Amino acid sequence: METNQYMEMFLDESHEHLQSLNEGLLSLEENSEDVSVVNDIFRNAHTLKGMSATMGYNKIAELTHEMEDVLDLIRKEQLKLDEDIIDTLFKCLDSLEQMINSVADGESEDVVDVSDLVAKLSAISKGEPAPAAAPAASAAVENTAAAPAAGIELSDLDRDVLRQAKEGGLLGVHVQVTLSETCLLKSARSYMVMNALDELGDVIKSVPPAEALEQEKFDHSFDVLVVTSSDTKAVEEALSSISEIDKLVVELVDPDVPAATKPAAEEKKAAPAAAAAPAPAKAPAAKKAPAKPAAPKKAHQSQSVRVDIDKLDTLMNLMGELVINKVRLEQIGQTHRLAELTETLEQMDRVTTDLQNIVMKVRMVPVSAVFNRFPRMVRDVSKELNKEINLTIEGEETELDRTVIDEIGDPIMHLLRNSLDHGVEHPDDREAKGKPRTGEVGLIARHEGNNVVIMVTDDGAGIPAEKIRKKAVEKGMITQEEADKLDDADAVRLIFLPGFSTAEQITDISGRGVGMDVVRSKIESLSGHVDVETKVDEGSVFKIKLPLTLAIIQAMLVKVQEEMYAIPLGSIDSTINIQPEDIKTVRNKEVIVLRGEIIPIIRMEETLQVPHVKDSDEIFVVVVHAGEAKAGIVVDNLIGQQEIVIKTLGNLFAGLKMFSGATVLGDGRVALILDVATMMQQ
Amino acid sequence: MANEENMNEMDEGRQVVAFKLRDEEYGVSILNVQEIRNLTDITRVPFSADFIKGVINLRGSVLPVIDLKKRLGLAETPYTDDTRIVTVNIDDLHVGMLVDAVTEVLTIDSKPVDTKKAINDKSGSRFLSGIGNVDGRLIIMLNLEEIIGNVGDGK
Repeated sequence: METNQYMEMFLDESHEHLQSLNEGLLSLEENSEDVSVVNDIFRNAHTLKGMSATMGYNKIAELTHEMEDVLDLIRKEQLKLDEDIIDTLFKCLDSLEQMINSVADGESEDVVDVSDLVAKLSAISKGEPAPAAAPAASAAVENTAAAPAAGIELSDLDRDVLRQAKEGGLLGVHVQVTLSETCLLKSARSYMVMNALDELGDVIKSVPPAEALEQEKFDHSFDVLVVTSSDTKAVEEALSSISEIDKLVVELVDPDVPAATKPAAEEKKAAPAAAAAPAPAKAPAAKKAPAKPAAPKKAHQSQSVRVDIDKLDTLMNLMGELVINKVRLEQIGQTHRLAELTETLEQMDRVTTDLQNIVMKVRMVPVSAVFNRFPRMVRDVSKELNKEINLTIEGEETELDRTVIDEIGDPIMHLLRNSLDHGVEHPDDREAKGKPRTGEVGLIARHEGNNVVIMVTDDGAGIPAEKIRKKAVEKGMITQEEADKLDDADAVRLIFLPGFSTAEQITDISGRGVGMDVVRSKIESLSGHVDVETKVDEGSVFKIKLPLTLAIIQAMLVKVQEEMYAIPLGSIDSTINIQPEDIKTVRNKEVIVLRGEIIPIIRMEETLQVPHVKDSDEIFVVVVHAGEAKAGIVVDNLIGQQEIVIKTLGNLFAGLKMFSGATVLGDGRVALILDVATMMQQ
Repeated sequence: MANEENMNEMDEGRQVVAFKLRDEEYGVSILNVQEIRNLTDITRVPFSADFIKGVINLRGSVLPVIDLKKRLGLAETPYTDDTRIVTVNIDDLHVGMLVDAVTEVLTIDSKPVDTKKAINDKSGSRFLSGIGNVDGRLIIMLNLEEIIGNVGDGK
C-alpha cells in the first residue's frame, strides 16, 4: 500500500494534534469544568487515532483509542476529571510524541512500551460505573465471535441503550456497509463511514468492533448500530457520498423485537412509533449525548496550507522582479507621456505593494510556535522538582523567520530548564530568604533594533561569580590569576565555555556539563548572541539576541548626499530639524542639546565617506540609542518610514559590522541598513 | 596546486564566456556564469575592500559586485554602453563582476598555457589559471576561486 506520500502530512498533523491536546489538557488542569475543551481534545484524540490506524501504526492507535474512551466518559460527565487522570493523559501524550518522532525518523513506533498506559487508561474508564457508553463498547467485543457476519446481534445492554434512545425520541439504525472488492484502503473507508455516522449520532457498536475495522480485520462488509435523531434517509445520504461502497443497507432497529427474528419490514413499521413516542422526563439527558458529536468535527483551530520554504524564496524573488519591471513601465509611461499607461500602473502599484507585503510576511512565524510547548514543560519539571513556579510569557506574537524558529526551540528549552533547576530555589528556601514561595520564570520576546531578543528570566538564586571562578580554576579551564582578573560579569560568562557545569549534583533536568556551551554554539550558528546578567539571590536573565536575517522591520529611510540608508525604527528616539548654529562643540566633539540632554552627533557623510555632491541647506538629526547611550546622526534628508526586508550582505562583506544588511527598495535600488550600535562606537 | 590543474582540465575543450577588460580578452568557464546583465545602479558599501564596487538588486536578492579591473590591478576606465555585470557562482558564493564588454561564448580546444610560464608576473598571477589560444586570439582564463573566494581574508 502506498502510504509514504501521506507520511509527511501524517507527521505534521499528528504534531498539531499533540500540541492541541497538550494545550487542552493544560487548560483543563486549571479549569476542569470546561466541557468545550474536553470536546476539543476528544476530537483531537479521535482524529489522531483514525490517522494512525490508517497509516498502520497500531500502537499509536491503541493508545489514542484508550485515551479517547476516557475523554469520552469525561465529556459525557460520567467520569470526574482528577489529577491522576490528567497526569496519566499527559504521560500518554509524551509516549505518543516519542512514538511519532521515532516514526518520523523512519524507525518503528515500538520505542516505548505503552501497555502499562493502555492498562491504566482502561482501568480508569472502567473504574467508574458508566451506565451507557463504556459497557456498550466492551459488550461489543464480547459479542464479536457470536455475531453473524451478515447482521448485528443485540446484547441486553444494547437494547437498554436503544430503549433509552427511543424514549428520548431517537432512532436506532442498523447500517450494513459492503465495500467494493477493489477497495484498497478499507480501513480508511470504514473510518470515513464511522466518521459520517459519528456526525449524525452516536455509534453504539459495530461488528466487527472499531479496532478491527481500523486494522482492516474484516472482509468487505461491516455492520454498525447508531442512535440518531435523523432518519434512515439522512443516514443513507450521508454515506452515499463515500466512494468504493458497493452495497448499503440502512434499516431501523427496535430494541423490543427479538434479535433472532428481525424482519426488516417489522422494524420499519416500528419506526414511526418510535419517532412519535412522547419524550418522557429522561429526554434531555438522552438528547445531550447525540448533540455533541454533531458539533463541527473538522473545525481546525486555524486553517493553513503547508508550503515548501524554497517556493517562498522563489516567490519573493519573482516579486522583486515584478516590482522592477513595474518601475520600468512607469518610466516608459513618463518618457512617452502615456497618461493611460501611467494611470493603470498606479492601480497596479497598489496591488504589487500589497502583494509584496504579503509575500514578505508569509515567511514569518510568531515565536509562539516555539513558546507554546513550554508551559507544559515547566509544569512537568516543577512538579518533578517539587517547586512552585509561575511561567509568564510575553511577546509571543513577535515574528521571526521560519528557519530561525525551527532552530531556537532547543536552546530556549535548555535555558528554561536551567532556570527551573538551578535558578529557582525550593519553596522553603525561598521563604527563608523572604521571597514568595512561588518562583517567577519569564519568557520574553521583543524587537530590539535589528534584533529579536528572547529573554529567559527567573527570580531565583542567581549565579555566584565566586563559585564560577573556583569551578573554572578547579577544572583547569583558567588559571587562578586569570580568574582573579575577571570581573564578576565576565566570570559568570565562563558558564558558556565547553565542559562547565556548576550544579552540585547532576540532575535529569539540566546540567550534564554539556548545556550552556551547546546553547551558545547553537545561537551563534544562527549569528546570534547569548549573554547573562545575574545577581545573587535576585535572579538571572539570559538574553538571546537574534539578528533579523530576512525579517521585516520598520525603518526610516534617510538620504546622505546621493546615497540612501535605512535606520531601524527600533533604534530611533526622534528626528529633529536643526540649524547649523545649534551644533556646539564640547572638547572638540560636536554635540547638540535636546531637551536639556547633551547628545553627541555623528556626521554620516564623514563617517561613511559619502562622496560630496552638493551642499544641503537643511540639517536633519536622527536621534538614536543603543542600550543606554544616545547619539544624533546628521543626514541631509528624511525620506520616510517604510517596512523593509533585511537581506544579508553575504560572505564577501564578512566582518563589516557597520551594516546589519541591505534592503531592496521599491524602485529596485539597494539601501544599506545601518547598525546603530556599531556606528556609535566609531 | 591541484586546484589549478583541475581548472586546466576543465578549460580544455570547454565553453568559455569571453569578455573585455580594457584591450585584453579574459574568459571564465560558462559553468560558473549565471547570467550577464546590463549595468544597473550599484549601491556603494562603505568600509568594504576597494575592489568591491558595491551591491545590486538581483531579482529581489542582494548581490555584491566587484570591479574586476581593480581586482586584477588594471587601471579603471569609465562606464560605457557596453559595460556589463557578469554574475558568477563559485561554491556557495554568488558575485557579480564588472567587465567592459562581453564578447562571445567560445570553445577552447587546445590546452591552455600555464600562466606562470607564459608571463613573468608575480602579483596578479594567482588570479589567472591559464591562457587559451583561439585562432590567434589570446583568452586569459581567470581563477575565480582566488578572485572571489579569498576576498574575505583580504580585509
